[in-house]
Amino acid sequence: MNELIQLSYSALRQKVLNKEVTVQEIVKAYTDQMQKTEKLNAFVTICPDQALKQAQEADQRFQKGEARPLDGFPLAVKDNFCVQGMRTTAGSKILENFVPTYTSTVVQKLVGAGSIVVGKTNMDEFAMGSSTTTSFFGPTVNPWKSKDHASDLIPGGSSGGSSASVAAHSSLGALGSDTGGSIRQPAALCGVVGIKPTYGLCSRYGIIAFASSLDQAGPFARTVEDTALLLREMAGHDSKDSTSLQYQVPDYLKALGKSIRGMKVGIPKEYRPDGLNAEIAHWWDQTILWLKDAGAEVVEISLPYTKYGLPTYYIIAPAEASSNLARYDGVRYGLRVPGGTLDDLYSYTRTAGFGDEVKRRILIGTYVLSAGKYEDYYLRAQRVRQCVTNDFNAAYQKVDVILTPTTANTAFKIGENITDPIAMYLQDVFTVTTNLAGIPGISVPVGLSKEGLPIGMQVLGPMLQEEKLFQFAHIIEQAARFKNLGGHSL
Amino acid sequence: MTHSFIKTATGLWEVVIGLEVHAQVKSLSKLFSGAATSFAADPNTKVSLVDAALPGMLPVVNKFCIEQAVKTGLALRGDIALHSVFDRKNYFYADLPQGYQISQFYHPIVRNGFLEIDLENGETKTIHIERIHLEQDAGKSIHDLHPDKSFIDLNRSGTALMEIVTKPDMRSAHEAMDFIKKLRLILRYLGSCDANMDEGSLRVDVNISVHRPGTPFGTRAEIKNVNSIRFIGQAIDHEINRQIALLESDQSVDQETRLFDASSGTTRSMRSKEDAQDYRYFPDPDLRPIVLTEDYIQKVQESLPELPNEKRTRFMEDYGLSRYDATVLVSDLETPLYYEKVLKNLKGWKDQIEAAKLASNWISGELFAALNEKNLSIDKSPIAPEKLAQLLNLIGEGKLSGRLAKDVFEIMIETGQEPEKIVDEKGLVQISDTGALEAIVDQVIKDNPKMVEEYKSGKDKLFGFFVGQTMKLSGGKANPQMINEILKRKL
Amino acid sequence: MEIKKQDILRIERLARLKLPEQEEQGFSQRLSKVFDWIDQLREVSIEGVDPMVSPLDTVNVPKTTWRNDEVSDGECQDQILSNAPEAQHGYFSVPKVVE
Repeated sequence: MNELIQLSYSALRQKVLNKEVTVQEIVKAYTDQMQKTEKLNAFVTICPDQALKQAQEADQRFQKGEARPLDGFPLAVKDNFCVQGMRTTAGSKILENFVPTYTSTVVQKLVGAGSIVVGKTNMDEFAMGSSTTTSFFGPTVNPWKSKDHASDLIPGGSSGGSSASVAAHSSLGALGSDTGGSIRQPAALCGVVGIKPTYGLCSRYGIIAFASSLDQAGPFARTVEDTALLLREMAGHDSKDSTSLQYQVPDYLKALGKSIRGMKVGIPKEYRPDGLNAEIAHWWDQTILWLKDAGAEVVEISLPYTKYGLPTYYIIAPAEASSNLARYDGVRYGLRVPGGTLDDLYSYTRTAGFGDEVKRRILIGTYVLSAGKYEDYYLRAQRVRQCVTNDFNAAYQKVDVILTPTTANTAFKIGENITDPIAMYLQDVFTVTTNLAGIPGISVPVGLSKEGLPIGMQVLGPMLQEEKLFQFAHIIEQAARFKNLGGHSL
Repeated sequence: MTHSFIKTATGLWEVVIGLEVHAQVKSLSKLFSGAATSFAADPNTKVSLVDAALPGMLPVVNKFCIEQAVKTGLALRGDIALHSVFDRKNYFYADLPQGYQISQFYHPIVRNGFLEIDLENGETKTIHIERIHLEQDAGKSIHDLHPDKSFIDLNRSGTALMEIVTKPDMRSAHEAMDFIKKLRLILRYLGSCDANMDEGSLRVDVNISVHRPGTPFGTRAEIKNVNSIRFIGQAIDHEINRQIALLESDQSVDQETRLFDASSGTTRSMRSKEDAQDYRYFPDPDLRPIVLTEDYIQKVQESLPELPNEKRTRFMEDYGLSRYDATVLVSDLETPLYYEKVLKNLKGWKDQIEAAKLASNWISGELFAALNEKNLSIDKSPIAPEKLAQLLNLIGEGKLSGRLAKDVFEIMIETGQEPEKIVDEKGLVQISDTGALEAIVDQVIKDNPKMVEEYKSGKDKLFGFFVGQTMKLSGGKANPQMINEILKRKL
Repeated sequence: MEIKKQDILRIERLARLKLPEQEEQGFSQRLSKVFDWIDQLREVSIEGVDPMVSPLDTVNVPKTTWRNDEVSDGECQDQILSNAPEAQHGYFSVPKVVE
């Protein structure tokens, strides 16, 4: 593997500043790697020519001493972020040929800071899934392979294309969105770092909505440092998003290397159910030891409403989605399947344009909002959501952060059909409560299973305490010395 | 409470009417986007990506629209909610790009207002307002440009509407029409809405049912597409007859939406069979609640202009006008301004009340008639209020008789000239010279000996005849008061 | 809780989409199962708890400000229509709608 695609951004930047390498060479190395790893199907759309052109511009800025904070950063963007002039599909047939004339705020900020978009990554259709297998463009393959068999594994989801591309070194960092775990879970399954920021920290403008009160954009990278760098540049208030917080974004890099001595880590007992995967449990204990060694105080806490998080999520997310996806009606953009009447046109278009999982969730959402069901389901779920949030608020009276596994299992085989919908939904059990409460969570790779598959731990913090997350994630990263894929299976 | 029952061969019927009024907020930009609200433009030009519901677009609320709803709520004496919420109303429709309308269902910004209307018998009646909420307007579908296509223009999409919902308090077409007249006037005074029904900035849906007095309300029909006050009356009267005819022939009224057809003055069932609606309202997670403070509401309250009823009371108290005259003057936005400008420029009157009444009479009489004939509004009047005041001052000074003043007025309305100039040029000054007038009177007496005879023998009524003859002989310029005196003396 | 075939038909109609016919029966069973699982929420005592609409309710930072009433957008018909499956004379076009 080309050495250039192994380095962190700060190392690359130093090399460019030392004139040892150009941004064009870096971008070329990454686009070459994209081609070599094409079979992973991490990208829906690639744009190597445009990326090289932007690399030239970045080189010129370096030469003039006007380099921006992220100049030359090769970035993959999940395909639900609108980028002007680039097809944006959300993994759906209904948007197969949709080309936005506008760019989402977070991409605008990252590009403005100098990063170079190398392509749009595959995802579960409309971000509904945990495996990146529901995409209209086919499943994405996890770059990691089991030692025990040769089968292709899922990369997690819904941002599986982004996590796979970062793990496969076909991008240095990537954008994802997290509605119930869609950044943290694929980060864990692909052995990379991924953070879901506080709800409202990053603008949702220009991101194709799944569930508006839960969706939040966040970055992936192979290191905590690069993740912090990306978040620093993409966060901040946006007057085009009414739910965007007015908040002065701190320099997250300053949190790296800070001692955690005397800080308190909560271990929620509800996250250690009977039958928790023994290897996950092992790495959880190991991580606790590392934090203790670093001087943190570890305390057991209780988040009693945890078990209700998932059913609550499966009311609120589909309800909002059923409404958010009503705009895909074949009239103004996207797929149109003609019909004799407008009503037929709607029905034919949506029937043909949406995949099964999306249809199921739209129908569930429609049902829970329908006459006579609203109070019993939607309103009840909103009240339980408050209970889940109160759990966290109470916990943060006692602890600085909470440590849990990110996932209950390692990556499973593509096509290993989970026919039981509830078993499938349980993939999100450790991640959804974070979205319900709106708090931030980061997943850091800590080690490999015996099978040789990555395992991630999740650090959760109070609203807008991303600095603490990076501080702890960095300590864990240092202790774990997790080796990203060196390309052995690529 | 007065009852207005309808009597038919089978007995009495009572009519129950409630109104849902959509008042378009007079804002520059839309409720949730920065696109302009001036939608008389090329199709889809006053449309932002938000209005067309492109993927990833988000609404951001317009402060001014909130303020207009609060203003309107206060003017209608409603309770302003300190916490109100935008909900999504989910349904599919050609000109509804999001697949939902952002409205306020569970927590509207205003509740419990009222408005007083005038009944035909001169009494007043309170019509209660259930709620006012803000919502987005839809786009427009155009059906007549192509044989088998409808065309969609989103220029109107996303414009702010205030939906004002009354309680079913009205009992006749007259009451409903007067409610709309009064509401329209208040909206115009506030400046929160242009309230032009023909342009669609005020749209009224009428809910109407009939029942036998003393029995529960009947099944109601909703009538849409009624775009003038006159049509509201027609639509209601037609619908009352239709419903009574159904019930009297043992049929039932369907709960349905009907369209008013202005050309025939009738209502018809909408052809598209609507599904049983299930709008699945839920709070819009893209928007924050509207949180207001008492302080804010107080400030809006203080900024309210004088409203029609307050102005009417003031005109009655300060200027001694009758209720009727004051009502006429306050019944649009510009007339009271004009009137008070006239009053400001009146000079030399001993009796201020007399002057104020005279000004009122001239405006609602001569001026309105002339403007009406020319199809002009009062703010476009060829006679500026200062000049009308000058004309009235000439009457007050005794320089012009009412009759002469009307002649001068006729010239003013055509030329816009100053009254004094017209008087000078045309020699229209009133003859107040006793000698000259006596000569004329003498001539009249001399010319009509027989009449003088009769008058003197007790036919008092003939006095008017002599006044008329004297006036005629003077070419209308004689000072009428002086004629009276001299005639009385000489006869 | 049992979700019947007719419920599925009703919500399909509301959502303007159809599952493949052979799936409708399977889906009603599947959905019934999901709702049985969701129904565990009935155990939760929610008395006195306010419904939570947004996580922002709990953040102590300035709330989003409202927009001023200024025309700052629009006049982009080409953008609005650029992805339209069918547009004529500056309009989106659809099969004739009858009112």
